[in-house]
Amino acid sequence: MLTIRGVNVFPSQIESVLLEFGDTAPHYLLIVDRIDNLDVLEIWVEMNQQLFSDQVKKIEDSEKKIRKAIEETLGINAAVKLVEPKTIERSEGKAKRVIDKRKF
Amino acid sequence: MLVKQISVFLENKSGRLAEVTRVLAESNVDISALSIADTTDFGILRLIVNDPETAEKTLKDNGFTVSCCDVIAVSVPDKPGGLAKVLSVLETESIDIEYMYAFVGKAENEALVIFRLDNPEKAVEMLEKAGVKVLSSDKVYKL
Repeated sequence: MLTIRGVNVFPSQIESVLLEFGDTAPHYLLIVDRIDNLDVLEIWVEMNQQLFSDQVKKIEDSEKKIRKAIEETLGINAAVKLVEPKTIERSEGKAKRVIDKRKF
Repeated sequence: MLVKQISVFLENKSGRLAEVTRVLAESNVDISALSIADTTDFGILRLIVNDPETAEKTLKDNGFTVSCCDVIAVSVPDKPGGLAKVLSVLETESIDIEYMYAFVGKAENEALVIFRLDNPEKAVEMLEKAGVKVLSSDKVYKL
């Protein structure tokens, strides 16, 4: 579990939001950082056939939809970045889904 | 009349475009035209190739996100007002252009323009009626 700006976030919650955007939940990575004393969350989501389009505005729409769904479910703002498929590291056994860069 | 265009999702980092062209070269696919739409984080590469099916398959096999859509190719006289004539037909028929790009063909005195439209079938019909030369897919793939 992560605490971002005082809100408890379980990666599994994010996974269930992402399930709406693919046949299987796309691979994702949460990157948490602290900028000017505020926690910021960035979510990298692997591109899939359902999110892709030949038009920029449709892809940007997909990003916005994910961001909105995350905000509605978790109550936090997150930046969403779409990355190429298979670029998020696959680990054997327990998946590593969080990079926390914060220094306490 | 509709031409297949391959679109590829590219992250904005070095070497991605080189990788696409390498994969296509290995499967002997010839690129006739291309255009890139770029944003801060990603780009969309759009390609017209001689063999869209092979291109789509090999790119997918190599882990790229690829989609295929229909565009039209129009031959425009290489003189002032050439493109204006084509665009005015589309304007009159209120056919929206999602995007377009031009490339130089091998034929002299004409430029080729690729259009991504919301209603390509109607566009082809109207353009031909207005005397605009719309290229067949066979011809475009051979360019």
